[in-house]
Amino acid sequence: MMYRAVARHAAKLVSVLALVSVTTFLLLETIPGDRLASVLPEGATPEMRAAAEERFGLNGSLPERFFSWLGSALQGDLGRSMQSQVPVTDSILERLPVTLELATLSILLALLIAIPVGVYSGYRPGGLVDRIATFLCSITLSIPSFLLGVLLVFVFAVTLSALPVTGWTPLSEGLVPHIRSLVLPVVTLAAVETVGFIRLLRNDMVATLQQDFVLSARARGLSTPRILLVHALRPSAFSLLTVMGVSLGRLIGGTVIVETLFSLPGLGTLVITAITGRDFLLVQGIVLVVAVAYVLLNALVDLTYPLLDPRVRTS
Amino acid sequence: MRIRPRSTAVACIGAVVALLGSACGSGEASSLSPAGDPVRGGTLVYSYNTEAQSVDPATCAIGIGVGPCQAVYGALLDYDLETGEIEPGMAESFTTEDGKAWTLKLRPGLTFSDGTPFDAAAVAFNWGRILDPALLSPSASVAKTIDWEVVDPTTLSVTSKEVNYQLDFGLTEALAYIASPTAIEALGADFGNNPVGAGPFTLTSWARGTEMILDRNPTYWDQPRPYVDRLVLKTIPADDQRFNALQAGEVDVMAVTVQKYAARAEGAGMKVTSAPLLGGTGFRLSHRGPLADPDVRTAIAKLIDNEQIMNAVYPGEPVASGFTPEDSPLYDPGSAWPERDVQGAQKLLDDYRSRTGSGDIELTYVLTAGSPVLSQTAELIQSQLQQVDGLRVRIVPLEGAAFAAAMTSGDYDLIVSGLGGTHPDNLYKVFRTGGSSNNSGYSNPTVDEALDLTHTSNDPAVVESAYKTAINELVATNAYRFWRHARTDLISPANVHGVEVAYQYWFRPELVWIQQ
Repeated sequence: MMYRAVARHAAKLVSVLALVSVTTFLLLETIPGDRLASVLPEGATPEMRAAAEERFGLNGSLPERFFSWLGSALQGDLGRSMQSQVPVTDSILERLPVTLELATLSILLALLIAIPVGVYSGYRPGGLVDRIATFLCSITLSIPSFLLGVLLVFVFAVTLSALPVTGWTPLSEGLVPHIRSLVLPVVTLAAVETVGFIRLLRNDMVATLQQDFVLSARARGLSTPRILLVHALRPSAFSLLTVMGVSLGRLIGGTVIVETLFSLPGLGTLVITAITGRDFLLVQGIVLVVAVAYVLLNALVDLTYPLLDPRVRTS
Repeated sequence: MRIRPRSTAVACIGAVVALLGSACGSGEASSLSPAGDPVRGGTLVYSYNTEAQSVDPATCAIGIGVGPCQAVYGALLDYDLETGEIEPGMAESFTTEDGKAWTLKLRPGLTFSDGTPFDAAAVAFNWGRILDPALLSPSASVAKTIDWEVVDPTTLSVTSKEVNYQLDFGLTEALAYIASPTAIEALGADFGNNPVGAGPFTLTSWARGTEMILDRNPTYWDQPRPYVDRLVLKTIPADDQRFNALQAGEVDVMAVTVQKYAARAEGAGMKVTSAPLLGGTGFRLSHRGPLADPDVRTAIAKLIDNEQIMNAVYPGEPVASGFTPEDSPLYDPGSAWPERDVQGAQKLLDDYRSRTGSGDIELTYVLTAGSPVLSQTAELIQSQLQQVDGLRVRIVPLEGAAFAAAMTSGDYDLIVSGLGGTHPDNLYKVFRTGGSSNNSGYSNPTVDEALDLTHTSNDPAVVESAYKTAINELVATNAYRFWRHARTDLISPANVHGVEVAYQYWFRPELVWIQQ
């Protein structure tokens, strides 16, 4: 049964990716204006234009260009950046780990806070913890991430000098400096995710705790922590898991503001550089990779549903 | 000591070219103890809001790429903003008697960091490479104005196709950077990411979008320079965030073009070095469509209210009352902007419309997207211009490269623009008929004649007078309008010495040392 589900997802995945590749390619083809304007110098000669068209693969018919691009992409060659001349694949692979780490840690931090708070708020709706959590969630939601980042920088970096203002220290330069460079961006990103997770889990917990099987568990004399964490959390985490997958995918493609604010060498800053520099080949490559990551993550989330709820497996 | 030999014919130009540099200045923090002699050591972190795309000398010699290029290659000649002198760099001298036949003398015994010789053949190779259309080099517009021939390992004979006594300026920018031919041939398209030069630093690592790390080149010719062991070029897009990093001690030299940080920095005991740039914060006018008519351009000039823009957008900063600041040697009362005169502007426009039978005039005002300051200014200008009947302004914000594309293709009526650089020879590129950066369609025989004279004369008084003539004519014909003189501030803590503005946002890192 599981194998069939995987095969079904794989077939869906292939068709989605085919659609993504065509759309990505055509999207950039339809952008108005001179695609070489950003790379041609002032006073460029016709020879320069011809050389640029050849270099960036813009001198064939549309189908020729698409199949040439797709053929190379399938071999991992997404061309070279029009601005920096760095292979697009290398640029993405260099940046992806930073964004992945940032996104994953943000989600983990959000879960670390959201699960206990959401579970307890759901267990005692309207109680002190629930009210405090609701209040803090409302405040956090009303602060945009760029403002939260600036506030955190002002307090923890400028005033207290406890953490760096900007920059990224790779793990190879030591665990502590690496973590120090991560704290503010991760907290900034995690804040909004935490709020969403808490609200979702709390509401699902409230609903789950009214189910018959919970009453039955109580009647059997099971302890409250066991009921909450073993019996109620798993079915309540269904929506949380879905949203978490979507959030992770969104963060991989969308940590633009936080990466820019903290000058982090991730996909977010790369995509900003590519868009503002009209580096079409780089934009094309990033969109493709982010789309693939998004689709794969959601497929993975789909495949984990049966682990949480056996009814999904049989259906 | 740095040596400053000059050819007799060219040296005199330096005095004239100090035109804008005269206003350079630095504010020293009063609490500083005497700095003493330079000492070696430490890491210097420089930060600006964007970074180079490549460190290939064929493409990095103009714009933001100058920073890493200068650090990795060293320039053949250096332009000193403060004195207006063009100084020896990797070359000992670049001399001429007639403005056409030039001789480039390199320092003997120079080697690239890969051990290969930095000789005249290497210079010829690099300049020839610039002319390859496939490299899309912005320096090609200068390289194609000259021919060259290797005379011996340290001598290159250069022939300018036109008389040009300011050709040496080209060797401070467009033709300044020479890379190892061996490395270029070995690395091909990847050379711009793995550059090999003979400058004060070598590239160690580059995390694109965030920071570039360069270490001292042990074979640099001008020992004990560079003084710092390591140079880090950090990209922090937001000015406030860059200033935060400076205050937190994470940045040693912050470059910024908004002047409000200078006062805050000096109040915090830091040093500020400033240099005026050519032109200012303003817009260039197209000379196509309705703007080809001088009356329409004059009407626009009469409608702009510099005071209002400055009070609203740059409170506290001085208002530009004309093209050149009053303390510049190029200052002339004739370069003052026309008086604001809404009724006069209305009359000029009405005359134009009745003369040509045209309806309302709609103009585009193109600016870079995402800048609150530029957006606010655009809205002010829109409201100022629309005070007359029959004139409409459409604000068109464009992302970075789209903006650059509009600029280079001339697809605008009014476009936010500086003039680039600090040297008045940039006027030649922007306003001379057929100039490499003349995208507005501007063509004026008086300006052409004056700018030609700046190239063909080696008399400082004549050159100065010619620049004044050109500028006055540019103002009279409303080719360009700005409200704020452009300026770069380099801000550094009190223990960082030797920071002086060079080129636009850059400095000479090999001269900087850190007081322990």
